[in-house]
Amino acid sequence: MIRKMSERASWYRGFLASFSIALGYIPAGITFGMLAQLSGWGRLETILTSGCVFAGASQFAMISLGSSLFPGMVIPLFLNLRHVVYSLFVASRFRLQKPHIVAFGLTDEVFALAQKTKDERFLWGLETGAYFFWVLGTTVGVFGGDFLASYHLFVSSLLFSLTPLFLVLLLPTLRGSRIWSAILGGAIALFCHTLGYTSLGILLAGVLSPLLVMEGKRRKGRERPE
Amino acid sequence: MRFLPLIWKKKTDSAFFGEFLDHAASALLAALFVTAFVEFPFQAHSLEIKSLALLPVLFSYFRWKNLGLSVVLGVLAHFILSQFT
Repeated sequence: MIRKMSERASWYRGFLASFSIALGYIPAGITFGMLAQLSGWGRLETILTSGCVFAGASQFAMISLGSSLFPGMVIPLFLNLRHVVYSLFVASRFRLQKPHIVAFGLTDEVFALAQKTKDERFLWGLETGAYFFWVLGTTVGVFGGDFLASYHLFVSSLLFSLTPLFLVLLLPTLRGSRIWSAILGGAIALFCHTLGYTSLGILLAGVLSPLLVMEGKRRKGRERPE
Repeated sequence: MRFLPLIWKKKTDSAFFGEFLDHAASALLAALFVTAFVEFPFQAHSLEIKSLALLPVLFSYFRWKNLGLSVVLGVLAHFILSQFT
């Protein structure tokens, strides 16, 4: 009984934590809903896409790719390659009972907030909240997008919320040689972002930076005794 | 794609892997931050507003260590700065 209550409390804490994600997801979902409508998607089709795919970058790519089936399937796959690194991180940190649920809800922002916990129930609450607000945003965009578009400044400020979210989650990780990983990761991502390969840049940052920094540490350690 | 690594977990446990993931987490968060911060087409004015809006975020984070509050302060600062600059 007590265990069940504590599990439920963890879930609620996770759900509450998702409110910081919601600040960014609702306007992004609204934008997706509006764009899909402008591109000729049906209302139900748009909401179902958010409900089934639940991956912002891929969904926006699907709109721009239109009806071309092969690129529509392959490009979202590449855009989401970085999620493999997120999943590896989560797999090593949590003792997962229901990996399929965790996998479905693992987005950039959920991954970022997952650094703060080792509790799977918290993660479920967090993912449920993120999912709910994303689908809610899309629904609002589908049905009330035109009205909301007149509040452009407010929407752009809400979209900005993801920047401070990532910054505040990054700061506590900046210890020792991890500072170099962050600097390298940021530089790689920025370089690719400049060229228009944002998703690839994030993936490369997550794979190359740790390898380079760890190799640097290993060499330094080898040189020291001499 | 998100699911498979969660099943492979047992094959990937090691000290090297643990250290790799610690570094990867920082690198990924930095990458996510940078790509959210800088937008293309590049607009200096927008970057100025974002940079100024991050000041209360940093202040709030170092003062109270509260994630939600820091994010909300950042959004409010961005909104106010967008209105008046």
